[in-house]
Amino acid sequence: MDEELLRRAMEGDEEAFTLLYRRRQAGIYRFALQMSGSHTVAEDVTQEVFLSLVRDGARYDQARAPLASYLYGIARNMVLRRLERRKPEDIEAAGKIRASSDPAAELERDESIREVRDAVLALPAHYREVAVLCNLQELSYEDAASALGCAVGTVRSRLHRARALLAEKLRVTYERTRV
Amino acid sequence: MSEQGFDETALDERLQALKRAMRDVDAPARVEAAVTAEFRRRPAGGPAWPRWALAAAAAVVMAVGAMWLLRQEPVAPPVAEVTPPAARPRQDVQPFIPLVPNMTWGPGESAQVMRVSMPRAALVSFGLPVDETRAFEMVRADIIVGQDMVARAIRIVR
Repeated sequence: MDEELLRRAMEGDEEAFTLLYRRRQAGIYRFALQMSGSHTVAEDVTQEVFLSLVRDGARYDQARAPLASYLYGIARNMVLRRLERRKPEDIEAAGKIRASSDPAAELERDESIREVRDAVLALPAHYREVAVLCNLQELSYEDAASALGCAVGTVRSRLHRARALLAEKLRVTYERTRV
Repeated sequence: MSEQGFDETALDERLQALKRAMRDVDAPARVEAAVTAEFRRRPAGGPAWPRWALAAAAAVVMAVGAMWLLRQEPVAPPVAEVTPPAARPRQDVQPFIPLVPNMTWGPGESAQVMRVSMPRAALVSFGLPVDETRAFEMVRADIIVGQDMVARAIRIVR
């Protein structure tokens, strides 16, 4: 489906391009947001990913990876470049994922979500990307490996380590709140 | 959640909660507007050729020019005028394809046929169709170059 839409888009079919964008933009945006914690970075990365597709979509090779993995791969490289340049104060400013304020009744739930989000953001990038792709974006190990340009076994081992780190981080938070 | 800490189930529940919280998070509408505008600006009429193909084409054009300037021995003897393809059919070559409209020759004007090798991808610069899967293969071609060093016609040699 994605590949057919891209083929038509590269032939000039704007409707196909729009459909492809609408199918994939949310995943790319959320991936960039979960990786960076910043709406600004997520917006820039999403835009750059699809501009790249407009410019170089003809170079996409279906035999190498599904289009979704190809797009996540571009997004991942762009996010990592942005994170390398980011200053510490940007990370602090990027803390809020949900744009709107929440009712008091949802405070506890939001606090729980914020803890998980912060724990994910605290992971080293190479663990964070597999956790986001496999556990939050629900890519298969194979598709995640295609996006990251590594072996499936590497994805498995990094995900195992990422989940252990997340569990430890959340355990510490949990025990602190029980005191 | 176990008393000992965070088990796999509890971790999955927390991750699922985060995923649900972000279920409706989309890129702002201005992103779609920006990429759609860029799509409309791209050249119409099929896929854009990758940069390496354009670079290869440019390299061939430069190579032809360099060969013309530096040649010690002509690849083929100068010809007074281009022989119509039908007059000398050969099985190993295709007819010449004009690169300029209304290819005519002035009185006393000469031209030269130069045989070159080039990446198949470079043929796109001459307006010829190219199978992208074989773009890196080398092909031989004859190019008619006028006294003014402008390429007038090309044919592929099999």
